[in-house]
Amino acid sequence: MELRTSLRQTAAARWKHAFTPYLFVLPAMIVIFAFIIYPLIMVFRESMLKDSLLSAMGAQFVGLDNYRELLHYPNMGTIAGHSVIWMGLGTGFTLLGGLLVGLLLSNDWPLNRLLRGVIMIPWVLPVVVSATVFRWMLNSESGIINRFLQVIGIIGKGIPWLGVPSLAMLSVVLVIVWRLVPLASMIVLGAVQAISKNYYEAASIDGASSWKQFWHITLPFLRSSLVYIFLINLIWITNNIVLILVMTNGGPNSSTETVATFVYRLAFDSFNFGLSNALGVVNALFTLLITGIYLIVFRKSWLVR
Amino acid sequence: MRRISILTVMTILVLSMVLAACGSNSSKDSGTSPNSGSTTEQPKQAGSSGDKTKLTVWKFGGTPAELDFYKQKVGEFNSQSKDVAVEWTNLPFQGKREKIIGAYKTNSLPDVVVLDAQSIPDFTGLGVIQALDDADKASADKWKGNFVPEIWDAVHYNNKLYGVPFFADVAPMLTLNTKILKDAGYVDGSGNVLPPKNWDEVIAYAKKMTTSDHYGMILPATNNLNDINMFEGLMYGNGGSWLTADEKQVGIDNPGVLDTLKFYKDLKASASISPGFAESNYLDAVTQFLQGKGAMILTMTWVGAIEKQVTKEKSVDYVVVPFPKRSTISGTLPPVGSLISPTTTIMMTKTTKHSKQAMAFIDFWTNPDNQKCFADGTCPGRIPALKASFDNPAFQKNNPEIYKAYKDGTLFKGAIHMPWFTGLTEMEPLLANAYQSVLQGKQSPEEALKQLSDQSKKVFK
Repeated sequence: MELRTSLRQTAAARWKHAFTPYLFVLPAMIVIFAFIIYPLIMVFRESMLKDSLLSAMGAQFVGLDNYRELLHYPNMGTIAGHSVIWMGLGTGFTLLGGLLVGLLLSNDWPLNRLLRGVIMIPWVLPVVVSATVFRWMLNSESGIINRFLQVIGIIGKGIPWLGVPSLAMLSVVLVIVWRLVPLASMIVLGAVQAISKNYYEAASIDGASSWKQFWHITLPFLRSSLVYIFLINLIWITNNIVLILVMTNGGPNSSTETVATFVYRLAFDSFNFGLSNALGVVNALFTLLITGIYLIVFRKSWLVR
Repeated sequence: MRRISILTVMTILVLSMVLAACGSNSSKDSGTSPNSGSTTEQPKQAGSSGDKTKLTVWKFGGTPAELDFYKQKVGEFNSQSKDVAVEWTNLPFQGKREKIIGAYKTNSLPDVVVLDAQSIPDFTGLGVIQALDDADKASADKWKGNFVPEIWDAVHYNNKLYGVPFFADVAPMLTLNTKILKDAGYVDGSGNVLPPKNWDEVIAYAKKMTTSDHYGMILPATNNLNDINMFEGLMYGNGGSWLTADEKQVGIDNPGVLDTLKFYKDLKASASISPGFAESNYLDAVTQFLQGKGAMILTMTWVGAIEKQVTKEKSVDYVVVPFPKRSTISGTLPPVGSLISPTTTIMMTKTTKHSKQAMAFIDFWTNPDNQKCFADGTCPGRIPALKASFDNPAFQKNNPEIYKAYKDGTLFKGAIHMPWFTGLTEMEPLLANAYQSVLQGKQSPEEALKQLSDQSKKVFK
């Protein structure tokens, strides 16, 4: 009898031990399921429906037909190419810019105290405001950037930065980089300030140059931060539509039309929610793939050791 | 160790997806939210609204002067009405589709919406709006005679009335800087400017008037809807069309459209248009014109609305005239006079539970006194929908050319509503690509038209 009671108590304790942690995370799991997992499932489900709001037939299950239709949709290949350029240049320049600015701000220069606060302004401004202001600034007729270049004699006539396909993408990329570099640089700054000065003192005593100190001390300590900066910016940039819609509306010649802006157009211009969701799923999977590759390539930087 | 690594990779991947979802939302919220910049007018008698039926109204777009006028009129309606209290909300024009679809999906549409008539087919198909003559045929019949017939027709779809128009924007028009034209000698015996009579003359005028101070012509050719509508106006005026005569197939591969593309190409080749044609949308381009940077500009009728909105000082003197047609019409369909878009049209939603009150509110706007803003110059640059507005001396004084064309019967001669059919919103950006490709020399008009036709056929069903 005592043995049985003891066994029962042990089993109960084991169950309690095993399940208590799950009880603590249960509220968070419910929230994640309700607001993230469930919508994702719904998006995936909708992507397999022929769901045009204008169709009298209502939503019909069509399997992977929407995905097949995407392959033959006008300009889809070009749009995907633009997305890769937008994502690649935007993320790459943000990473480099954030690293450079973060390192500069980490110096104990008097002006840096002011700059560390001021530099966050582009990040704090609403995207739509930044986009509108840059659209004006880049205008070939009345934009201050063209006027400045004319005054210092670099150009004669104003350049339509947002009106020429080859320049429009570069222009919107530079604006998104301008907006995202501040946060990236703050993350780098925080990581640099966390590195113990002892490493640098020891390296100096051993005669290591500034470049070697950066390469062998600073950069290894920054790797996990850089992975984070890369991932978060990749996702933000890939899914950013406001900047492009306000600055160029996807033009000229669809040269700044990306997958994300096209997801929006399919849904709200064409009312074709099935196709829009299918493209959204493809976009998410592509982002996930890039993220996965990046994490695997740079696994040494972030894996728990 | 290996297990932890795999688990960590999976966790980060899931988090990435989570962030991706969040990223998408935050981008949208930060800029394109239809609510951003919205203002709501609450009925003043909020305390007594228990006795009154609350009528919710969403108004999309409008100039500051127009919004001020609506606010004043809604106040008057609320104080006059014994049983209706209107709650009027101004919303950005750009967000109308997201806002309405969101409300439609969540069954939270307002009672009344005020938006452009070009949305009627889509929102009728969706079941958002209902025919007013179905709700109250007697009122619809009573209103009909008070409105300009062509504008009245432009708010009908499948022979049903879907809204009451406040005004119409008409395309294509040519706006001329009178001083530059007079200096260039384009003036008749009475001292009035002499507009070009056909496309060849437009090019010749533009070439002659291009100087180091200003361009001969400003050509808004972005993928903005207004710019697309103006090209459509030109191509329909030259016997072209999106669809075949029976409207069952894509008919854009039409000589009328081809020659319109060639006209754009010739304008560019004349080196007389501003290089920012693909970056400066209609609003930007008109602003540049009002600053004296162009002798002529392709416009719609609402230049005055922009002038009041953006220029604090007196801008250049100008005159708005119908855009001339090609010397010989080359399209295969009958040429249209112009395209009409009643961009502010009051409509009743299908889900309203207060259709009687909604009809009373719509009826309120059919009174000339409640549309006088478009006649007396308070809200300039619009073509009034009510016939009575044209009799207003202030309108005649402020818009002599428009009034003359109206009295002559040429203003709306052969005019039809802007194109509307399912699939058009997907096809219009393709048209913008076509004329931009031609203007940038990337494609010949023939190549651009063939590509446009092929792509449109894939979209049109």
